[in-house]
Amino acid sequence: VITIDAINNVSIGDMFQRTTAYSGTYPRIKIYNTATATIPASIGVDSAAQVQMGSFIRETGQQATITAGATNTTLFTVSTTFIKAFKMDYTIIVETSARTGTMTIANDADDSAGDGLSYTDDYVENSTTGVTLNVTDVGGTVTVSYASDAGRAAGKIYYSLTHLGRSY
Amino acid sequence: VIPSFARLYGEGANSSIISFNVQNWAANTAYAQGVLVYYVAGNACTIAVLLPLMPVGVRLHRAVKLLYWAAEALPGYIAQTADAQGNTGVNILSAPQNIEVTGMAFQTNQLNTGILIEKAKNCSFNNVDVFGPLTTADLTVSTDNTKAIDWSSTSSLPCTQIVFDNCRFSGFTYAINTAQQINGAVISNGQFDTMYQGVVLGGVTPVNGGATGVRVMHNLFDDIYEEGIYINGVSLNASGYNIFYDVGNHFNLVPPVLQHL
Repeated sequence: VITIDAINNVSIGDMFQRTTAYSGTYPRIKIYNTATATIPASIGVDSAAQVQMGSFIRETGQQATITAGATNTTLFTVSTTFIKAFKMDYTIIVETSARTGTMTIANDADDSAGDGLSYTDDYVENSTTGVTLNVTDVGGTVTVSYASDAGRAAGKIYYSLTHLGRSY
Repeated sequence: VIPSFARLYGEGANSSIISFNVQNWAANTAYAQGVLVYYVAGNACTIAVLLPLMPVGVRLHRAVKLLYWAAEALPGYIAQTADAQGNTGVNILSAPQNIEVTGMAFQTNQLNTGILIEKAKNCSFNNVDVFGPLTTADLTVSTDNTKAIDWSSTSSLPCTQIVFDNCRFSGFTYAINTAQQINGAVISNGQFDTMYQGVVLGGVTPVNGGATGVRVMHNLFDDIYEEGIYINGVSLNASGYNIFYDVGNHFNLVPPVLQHL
């Protein structure tokens, strides 16, 4: 909807009818120079979804309910067609247990031989939440999911993604 | 032409309309001298103007019309800025300046451009509509290459601080598409509708740095085939607090593929 392919430009506060689901191939704000395949140092605040500062993107924080007894519930998916690696900052609250950390995830879009999914989950917690975060890769889609303790109450997870670079 | 220091005050864009409207020539019609018409010969179509030797009010028959009509080039613009002496183009001596246009519309039914901002500074357009003839059926390609507002600068006379406030642009390939130098412009509180692209700044070869300081603020964009705003190879421009409805969807004829972000 907005394309910026040079440095020192800004899009702030623009609103878009286009939803996030339709912003993969055709983003709301595209800060990218197709001719040189580079990301210029301009800034775009994409509706309420993300802030892009050059090649760095911070997505708006999300939240989801952690259902008790879940075995493999999807939190979100990421297309590795566009994003090759990302971090998820998160905080999980289950009853009085609190855990906060960062998942760091890298993958190759085409799942070619020699490449593969790799991730870490670094966190601190005041007591165990009974929640396990998992990452899987099928085709060009990375899925972050969770499993939870059936003996605990439902909880909340708050998370936000960051990534550097984006492919088009 | 709109010379320096001109103040054009209309009674509103629906009432005060400068219309560039070329009709097809029709037999047995009394035309005033200087009127442009389409003269259709076979499949060719040219614009013609009534010559002075044709008495006003005389009815014209097809057999004799060539005696009285002369081919005429389509004017490039409905209106353009001029210096205080009314000069345009290379004859401009000093920057056209302090032009104020309020409450008017500029319309064309031809494939020409709306208003040319030429070497001007400190001009404002308020409550001005600029409407062209193109529809969504025409605007799936940029072939017509018409613009609601066009710009022309030199390094010594760059277009500087031009303000369009509460204006509407519709029916052109672009509202603005320029590689020309601009030193500050504001397009605010306006509406962009039915275009191929909305505002395109820069291009393959921006002239003298191209557009800088262009601020597109608080506008509504709808029915735009491609981008609402495309900043292409130029810097120091800003977009803010605009709302984009049906923009970049190819008029919904080709919905974008659903993808994960």
